[in-house]
Amino acid sequence: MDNSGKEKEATALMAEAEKKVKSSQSFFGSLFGMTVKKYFFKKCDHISSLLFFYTFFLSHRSSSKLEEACDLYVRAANMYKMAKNWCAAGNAFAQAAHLHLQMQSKHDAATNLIDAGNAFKKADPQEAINCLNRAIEIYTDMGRFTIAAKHHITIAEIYETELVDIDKAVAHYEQAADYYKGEESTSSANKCLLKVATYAAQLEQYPKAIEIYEQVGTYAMDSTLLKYSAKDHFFKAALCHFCVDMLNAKLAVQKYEEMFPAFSDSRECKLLKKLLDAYEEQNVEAYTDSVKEFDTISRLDQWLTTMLLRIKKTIQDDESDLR
Amino acid sequence: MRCLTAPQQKPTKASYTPLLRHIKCWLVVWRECVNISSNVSSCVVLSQCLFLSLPPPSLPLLCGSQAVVMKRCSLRRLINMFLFFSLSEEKTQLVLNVDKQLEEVRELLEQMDLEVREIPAQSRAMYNSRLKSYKQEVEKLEKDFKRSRIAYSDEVRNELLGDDAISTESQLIKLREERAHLLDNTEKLERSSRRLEAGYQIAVETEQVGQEILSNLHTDREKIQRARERLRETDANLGKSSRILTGMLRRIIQNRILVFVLGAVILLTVILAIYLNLRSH
Repeated sequence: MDNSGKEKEATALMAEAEKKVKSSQSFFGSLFGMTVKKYFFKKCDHISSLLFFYTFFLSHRSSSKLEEACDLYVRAANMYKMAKNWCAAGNAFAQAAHLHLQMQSKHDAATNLIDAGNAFKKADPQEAINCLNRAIEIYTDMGRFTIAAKHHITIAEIYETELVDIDKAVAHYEQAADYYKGEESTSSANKCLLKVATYAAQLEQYPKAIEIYEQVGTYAMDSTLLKYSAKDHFFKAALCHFCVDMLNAKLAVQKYEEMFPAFSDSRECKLLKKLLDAYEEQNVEAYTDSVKEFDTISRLDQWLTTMLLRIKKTIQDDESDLR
Repeated sequence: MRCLTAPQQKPTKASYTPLLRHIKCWLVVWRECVNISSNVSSCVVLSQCLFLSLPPPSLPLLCGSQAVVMKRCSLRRLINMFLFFSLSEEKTQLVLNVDKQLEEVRELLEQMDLEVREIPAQSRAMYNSRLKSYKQEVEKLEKDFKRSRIAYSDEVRNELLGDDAISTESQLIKLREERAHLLDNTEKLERSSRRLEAGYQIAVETEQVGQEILSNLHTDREKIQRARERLRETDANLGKSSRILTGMLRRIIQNRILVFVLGAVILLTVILAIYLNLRSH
């Protein structure tokens, strides 16, 4: 492919755009355009509106230069993308966004920042997060919380995968969930909250996780679409209770059965009861057997294995304490 | 071998007559028994009775008669036993007994032959002929016995095979067949239980996939609802903006008309001024 060719073209375009920007940054362009426009926007009555149109046409040259420069930057960035030079593409997009901000078009600025973030994701995660944060600020300024929430999730994912920083990821997920709740999209909010809960449980912040799971479970119970996932949420909540204290778990299981009768039929509930019995009798083999039996039918995922292992360790510790 | 153990006495002619008389007696008894029962199996009994009743010639004749009497009692008992109880073990035992007795009879006949040779020549012919007739009878009895044994075994076998088939070989084969059948069944059951488990696993996985899909649908539903709301808003905004634009257009037209009117007025005023000026000059 002619990647190197594209790169050269792109660099040429960047240079041209920079020249335009510089040229448009004369006293005439910056001052006259802005002030004239503002003045005549304020005093917009019948006759002067005509005059305004003429002056606007005169000053249009500078802003048109900026627009052309923006356009050139975007084209250059696309070409860098084709050549897979992510850093350069990100930079180009950032420059375009900067110009848009100067031209007071926030929407375009934010879009370009998002593009920059996506380009940087593949090369420099930190830079990507910076761009995305700036974009989120702009969106929250404008009041577009849904998109802001979506990008919070993106940032959280980056923290999850590339820069493994679980705390910040959890913070971003929470923020996203709050924004979604504000916009009345409970389903998306629940998705984020569930992620928060899984990480919280892994980091042993059990009360938070329990609260979230119960909340999501009660919400799911009522909805026709989601009621089949409710039992899964109650199961996880009960497991978190179990990690804290066995009595809590027993009470919790009873409470959930009362609230949601179908829970008692599920295999998860049966497993819980068996585990509770095994814990009471301090019988590690019974515990392991029931877990193995459950595993043969439906595989236990990473989170579940971690939690069950913790509970098992508490049984073993208790046994060794008694001895 | 009772004959050899008993003391040897030189038999006289007088001692043999009661013996032969006794043998004749028992032959008559035997023939009577044959007439009584036509059953082949009773031939066995009867032949046995005869041989049991034959006294060994070496015994002294005094105790010989006693032995005969004893034998007669035991004979009666045996007949009764055989006719009333028909157990296969008893029958085999009796068959064995009969075999033994037949052998003893042959030995006795040999001894009788030797002794007959030693008696004086006048009555030797008579005793020889009698001995020959006894031998023939013994042979006949043997043949009958053999035939009855064959018939007996065949008949009993048919009886058994017809009802039960308790013969050991066929029994073993049947057992082996049953065992293979049962193993087959157990295997089938195990296979079907394994398939059921696999099916259950797949059902559970399907349920989990379904859960995910449903939650995705829920999210999408909300997204679509939001998009619809926004579209309605945009629609309203577009309507408003089009109204504003028409307003603007109207105002532009108004302005233009005003400008032309004013321009016309000014022009008229100027023309009037010039005209008045010229008129006044």
